[in-house]
Amino acid sequence: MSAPLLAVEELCVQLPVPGGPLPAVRSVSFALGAGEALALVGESGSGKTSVLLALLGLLGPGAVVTGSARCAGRPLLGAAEADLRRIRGGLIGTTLQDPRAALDPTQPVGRQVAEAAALHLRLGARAALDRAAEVLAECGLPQGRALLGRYPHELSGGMRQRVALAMALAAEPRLLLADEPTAALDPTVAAEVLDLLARLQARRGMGLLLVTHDLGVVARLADQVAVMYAGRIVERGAAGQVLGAPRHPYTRGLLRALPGRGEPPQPIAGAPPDPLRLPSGCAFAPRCPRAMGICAREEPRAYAAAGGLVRCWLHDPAAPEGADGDGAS
Amino acid sequence: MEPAPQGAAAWLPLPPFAAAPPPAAARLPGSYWSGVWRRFRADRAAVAGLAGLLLIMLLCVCGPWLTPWHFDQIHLSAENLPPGAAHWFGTDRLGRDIFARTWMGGRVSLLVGVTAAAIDLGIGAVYGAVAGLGGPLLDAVLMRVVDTLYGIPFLLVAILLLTVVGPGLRAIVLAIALVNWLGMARLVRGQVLQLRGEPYVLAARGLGLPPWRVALRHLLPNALGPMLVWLSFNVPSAIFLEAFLSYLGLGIQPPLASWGSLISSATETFRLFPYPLLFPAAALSGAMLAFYAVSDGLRDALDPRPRR
Amino acid sequence: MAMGPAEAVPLLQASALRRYYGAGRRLVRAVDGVDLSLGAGEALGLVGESGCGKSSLARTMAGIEAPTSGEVRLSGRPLHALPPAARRRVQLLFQDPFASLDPRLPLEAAVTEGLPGLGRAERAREAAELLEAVGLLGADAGRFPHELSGGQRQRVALARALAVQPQVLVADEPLSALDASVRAQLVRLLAGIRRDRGLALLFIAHDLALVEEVAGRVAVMRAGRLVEVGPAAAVLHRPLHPYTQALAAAVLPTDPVLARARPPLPLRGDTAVPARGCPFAPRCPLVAERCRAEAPELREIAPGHSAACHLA
Repeated sequence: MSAPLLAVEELCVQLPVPGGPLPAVRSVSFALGAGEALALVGESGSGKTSVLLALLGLLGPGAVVTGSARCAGRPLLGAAEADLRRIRGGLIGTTLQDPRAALDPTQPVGRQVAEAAALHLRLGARAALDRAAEVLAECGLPQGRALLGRYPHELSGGMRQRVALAMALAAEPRLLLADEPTAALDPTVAAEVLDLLARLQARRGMGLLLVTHDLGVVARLADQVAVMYAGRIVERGAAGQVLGAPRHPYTRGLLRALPGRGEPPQPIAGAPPDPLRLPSGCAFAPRCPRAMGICAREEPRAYAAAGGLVRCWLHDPAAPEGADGDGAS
Repeated sequence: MEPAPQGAAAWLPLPPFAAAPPPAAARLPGSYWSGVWRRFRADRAAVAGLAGLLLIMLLCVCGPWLTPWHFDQIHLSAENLPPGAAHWFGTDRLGRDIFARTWMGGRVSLLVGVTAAAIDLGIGAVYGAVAGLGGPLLDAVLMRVVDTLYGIPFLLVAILLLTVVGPGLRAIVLAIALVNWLGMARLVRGQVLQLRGEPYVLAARGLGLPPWRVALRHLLPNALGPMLVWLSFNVPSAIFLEAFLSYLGLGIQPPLASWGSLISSATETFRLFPYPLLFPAAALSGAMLAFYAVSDGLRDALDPRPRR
Repeated sequence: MAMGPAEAVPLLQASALRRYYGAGRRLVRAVDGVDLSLGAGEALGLVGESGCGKSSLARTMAGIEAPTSGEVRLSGRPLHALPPAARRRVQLLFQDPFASLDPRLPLEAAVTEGLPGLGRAERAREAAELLEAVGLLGADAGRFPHELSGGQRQRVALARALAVQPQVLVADEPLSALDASVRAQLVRLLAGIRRDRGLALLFIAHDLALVEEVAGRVAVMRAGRLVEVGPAAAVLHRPLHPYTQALAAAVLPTDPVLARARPPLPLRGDTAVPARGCPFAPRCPLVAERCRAEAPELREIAPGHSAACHLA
């Protein structure tokens, strides 16, 4: 892969909360090439949404962000607000979780999509509306012209999500950040939206950074997967590898907890740690069925594994033989 | 990469949850209201406000007894005196003791404030609750009445009543009783309608709790916050309205006093003799400030969630 | 009729149930003629997409809302005619963990809400017992809902329902807002509690795989009516109705190869429900003339497995 479209290195985010600075993201690094899709997977509190917000510069004041992130060579962290505004919507398109939140209920849909186009592509009003109809059609709403005058509340959930997508894509971004794109949707509608995303990505050669907790969505769209727990990436690799033969006990736990795999779902005991009171050593150790003495004392290093990485002591060369195998939990 | 440290023991399996951090210290439960009091007590501004309010109320009750002067006693030889040993707040242009008059006036103003609050809650909140809890027909009827009355300016009602009943406190209280509660009624109705559909309210009904219990336990505490905010606007505005009416000569007639009337009658000579205005104004401002502090503190204390 | 296994009197039964909202042009037929029964100790799944009326059905069957027509019976007696003490034997669990608990009440008050008139010590004891029964710590009784995670709040809601010793739990998508590993924990908890207390469960969800884990029988709902009812494995793996087939096809496997090789969905546009004929006709890939003219009834195609389709 030549220069990656998005390169994130040692990203750390601290959020100001009443109890003290909260380490939401701890040293996250990944890279994404043009046309590639990377999924950030994690449960609530894993920090994945904070990563997205940090990349867009949308964390509130008081958030401490360190590390580096570049998109198409342009720096994202610490960039001037004016630059960031040009990047948001222009270079990087975003769809956030709830399509209702992305759409202004008091404005017709067409105008909202056209606004994005007009702003970043510097089109006149007429041209922007044309572009809006075009993008809406591309997003599976061929009656784009007719829709331009509608208001968000007149549309179904699936249609709203498509409009939100169209807004994100109107200015031809090279990277799309999608936060739980199907969380608020019914399964059949979700499946259609995912098909749409895959088609769009292929056709435009767009990069896709996907944040989700749904492994089915990951399987459908992602080329690369990074699994996050308590602010760190604990495993990263090709989708087939991470989902088919996961190496980290947490990833294994996540997959085993899913229904529909021929056996009853196996929960992961316990709950994610309070980020203000992280255990010493590996954050997952208290819940890990394969934890060892060292796991409670020191945070594991990252070990290279088949084109990706695993952050787990079980993969240390000094670990006992067979420790990293998928033995009985 | 340096070699991993530790000896062989480091690689032995850990029993489950051995590495878990200890849970945070548990807190005693206790009822919702005891928690409210606890949080209120911890809010210094609120406690200070409460103390201030109590002090002012005490002074209003006892203050006039503390000086030998009667509040309407005229001393034509002692006009416009500055504060001194004999008259702690000085005297006004008729030689009346300002200290006594301030606290007598406080009685009236506070009475107006308390009346407004009582009517807000006793009439307005109850009306709004009934409209919110009743069926759509009852709601529509009750709210149409409110909408109609809402359009009538308070001032107009007050003036009309005054011509009927005659100037004085009675007319003002009557005017308040007639129209000042409308905003609260609307607010409470809106709150009740919204809260009714909340899952925890439905769950309470599903548990077999009678409607009055559901209302008291869930609807009231959750609606109190916005109600308090409304009160903290409405009560001062009632007091100021009374002041205005008195200024117009429609309210309290001298020698009776309210803070508002004292302030109004002292404005003309303020430049030369500031004290007749200063002390009642300070008392009024102090009381309002204390009231705000208490109502803010109370609103925050009602909600166990952390601020921000 | 979609009856369960042969029983003298099903525990909870809906007959010709209709729940309409609004009137005239704004009439919403949320539940439009549903017959459903639940036996003692049975777990019945109800799947459907948003707007199909499953929440309205849940609330009506739990007695929170009165039906527009038809009736709900508990152990053979009409639910709305029962005194509150009996009616609360059907308890409802809600989807949104953040709204199902009053934010101002500490957990002790929340879980013992259905038990008024307890002394302080007794209340504390009951609360501790209930919290532990759902996997929380008795010491948590002093906490407030905002201190808990979504999964923990749902446990509290469950404890609150269990306090009044219900016979039926109607769970309206209780796990949809939770992470997958937490779902697995709660599925296990629910199964254990059902076993220990012999509870019947009406489990509503839109995740088919999850429903199969929880329920023995499944009903599929669309536009206020049931389109298919039968044993879970049969309905979910050998569906008879085209809509169920579409739902099953939309489930995403976690194997990327399988996920990408999935055939595109057979559904066509237009989700509006027509006034005549089968409600699914506008979207159905197998639609025939008869489907547009005549609305199909739920009829038994295989033993215990019914579908409302002319072509099944």
